[in-house]
Amino acid sequence: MKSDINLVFPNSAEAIKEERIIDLLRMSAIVSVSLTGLFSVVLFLIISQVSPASIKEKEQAALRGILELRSKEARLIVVNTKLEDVEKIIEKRQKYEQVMEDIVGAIPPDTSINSLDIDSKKVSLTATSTSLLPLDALIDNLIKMVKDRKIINSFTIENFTTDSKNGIYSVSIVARRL
Amino acid sequence: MKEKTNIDVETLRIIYSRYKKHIIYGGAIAICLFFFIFFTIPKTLELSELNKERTVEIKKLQVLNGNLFLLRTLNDNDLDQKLQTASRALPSSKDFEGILNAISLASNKSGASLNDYSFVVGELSKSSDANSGFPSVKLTLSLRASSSQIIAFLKNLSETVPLSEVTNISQKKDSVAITALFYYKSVDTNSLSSEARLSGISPKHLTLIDTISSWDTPFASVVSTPEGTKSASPF
Repeated sequence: MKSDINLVFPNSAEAIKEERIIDLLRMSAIVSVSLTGLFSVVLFLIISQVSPASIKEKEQAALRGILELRSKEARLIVVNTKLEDVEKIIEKRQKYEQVMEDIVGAIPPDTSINSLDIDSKKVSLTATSTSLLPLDALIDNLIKMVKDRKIINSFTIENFTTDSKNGIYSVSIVARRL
Repeated sequence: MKEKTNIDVETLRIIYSRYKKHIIYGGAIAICLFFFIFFTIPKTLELSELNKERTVEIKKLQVLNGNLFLLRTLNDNDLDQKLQTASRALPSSKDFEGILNAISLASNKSGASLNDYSFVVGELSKSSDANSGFPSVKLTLSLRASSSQIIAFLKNLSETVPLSEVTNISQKKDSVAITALFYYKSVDTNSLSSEARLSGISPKHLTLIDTISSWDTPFASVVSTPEGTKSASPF
């Protein structure tokens, strides 16, 4: 049998204190529920606004549209890529016709070219003439080209020969290209 | 020493009836606190990430819409024509026919007489030239021409398609040997990404197309390809 049950009512001071605690708890509970509810609703609204789901749906629609035009897209990319490459090639390739024109332009009329080799680094030239004057003019022209920084930046006379029997003079020049 | 306490159902019921309101209100507060800590705060923290993701997706959508608009406004025939011009200038594979036509055309226009030519196909596994970065067919040709004809030939060759680059000229008394590289390059369309921003053909490239189109086209290259053969289109 139980013997520790208190059947005596609490006195009025205790009851008031108890009531205050309950009031405080009630208020706290109401405020907590209200705030949590308000926060949840606001959060839900913000998330639904910020959520990228609707944007992803639009993306999918755009992707479907692009997929229908896939062939056109590929052709456009190929055209752009090829044109970029074409541009690069045209920009970097050397104008050999210009080099040739300038070198040939430097050779006086009474001189004939025995051999002319042009590559990206050097120009090798063997010219012959029946007179020394045109060969002298050729060397002068090449010196002028070096001074003007036109195609070549230096040159060396590799060989100079005289065929006294036929009266032909020959000069071999190697020039370094700019 | 701690005394052992016996709490039976009746005791609990009495305690419950005594503290019923405390328990209900306290429980509500505890649930709200729990909800706030384990739901509201983490979700609030996720908001900035969500916002970043949204910004990324908006940019992606803008790109996609831009691409879609560009593709819809592009004229199909015009694009085909440009593709054909670009493919003639830089073929996707070794275009021997185009090369021979380009040489013939340059030779005819310059008045140089073509003696002989030889192709160096090169290493098939090699994808690109070390200097230019583009794969090429190396060709050495022999001409019988005067200096002015050689200059004209070089000029004409530089203005024909497929694109070429002269790398060496060796002139002897009555003949000249010219070494040229004819470029080609395939474009890999398998790695296309729909999400990459597409750009239309720039004004600079349009001018380039006009320039290439203005060059005399070797006759055989413009002949329409028979059905079943490889066309300029990569598709």
